[in-house]
Amino acid sequence: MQRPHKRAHARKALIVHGQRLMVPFLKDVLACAGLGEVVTYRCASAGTLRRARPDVVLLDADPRGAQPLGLIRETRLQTSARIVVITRSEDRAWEAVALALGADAVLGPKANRQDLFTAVGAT
Amino acid sequence: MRDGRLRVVIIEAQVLFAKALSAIFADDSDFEVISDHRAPEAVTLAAARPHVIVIDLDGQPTDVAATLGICSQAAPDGRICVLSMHLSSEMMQRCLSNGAEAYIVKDISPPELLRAIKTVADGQSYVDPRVAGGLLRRRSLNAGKPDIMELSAREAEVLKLIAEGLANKQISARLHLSEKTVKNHVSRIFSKLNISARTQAAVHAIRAGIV
Repeated sequence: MQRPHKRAHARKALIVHGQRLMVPFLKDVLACAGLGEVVTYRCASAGTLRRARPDVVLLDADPRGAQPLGLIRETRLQTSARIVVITRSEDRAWEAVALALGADAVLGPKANRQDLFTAVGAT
Repeated sequence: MRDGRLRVVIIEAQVLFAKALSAIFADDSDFEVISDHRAPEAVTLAAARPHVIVIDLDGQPTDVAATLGICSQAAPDGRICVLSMHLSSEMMQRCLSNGAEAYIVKDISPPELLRAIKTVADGQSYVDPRVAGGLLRRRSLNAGKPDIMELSAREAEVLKLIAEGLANKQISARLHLSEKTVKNHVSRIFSKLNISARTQAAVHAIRAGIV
């Protein structure tokens, strides 16, 4: 008797955003990249990360009131997921710090859909 | 009264966000996105003849008056809708004083954005209700008194230098403007604040906390 195939693990992304207008577009790109998504607002708590167990965290670094570098560091401490940061900053020093604090990719203002697709590791 | 679809130009420094905005408008057949740009460009805006200019100020230079001025001069019939992440009545006032018809905070939902833009295209104004309260409060407190927030960013800069005791010639050197331009700014500041002397201007600046 043939054993049923074990169901493949569906990759999942957690979108941490401060600009709700951007979410439908991000969901669309993530879906094309083969990722299901969970959306949260402004910051991802330890509980959210534990429950969602994302493979990718897509972090909008420009929400009002947030400390983006602190947010990256906190997120890295709580998850081993791939962290992709979206920012309008073109500051290479800022990017270097973000990477040092645990981001796997930083997408600046000129990044396009394809860059995002690549950064989240499309399947 | 317009015929057909609303012609929209998007000015957004962040490419991904520009695409996100375009996608939102593409879902509503009342809109046609003509183009999107990273910064306001007079020539392309004039050629596009948009009904609505949607501009995200967060990625633009800090001189709100200059940024919005390019839009209103290049496309005088275009209604300017500002997007911002700042829930700030001061910022909203500054935008409205410089030609914007809408001040929209970016955490609203896509349907709310579309409704706001349609409201503006129909000749009305839209401001985020969370910041409108602050504006109304300040207006009511200042009823009858001149409001420093009526000044453009450049005028506020000139006012700050007046308060520091600089003469027009020194201000022109500091801001890389001609002396005549500085004189014009000073006249407008005096007119908006309803004053006639530089010392009064300095008092306004100190009270407003800009020096």
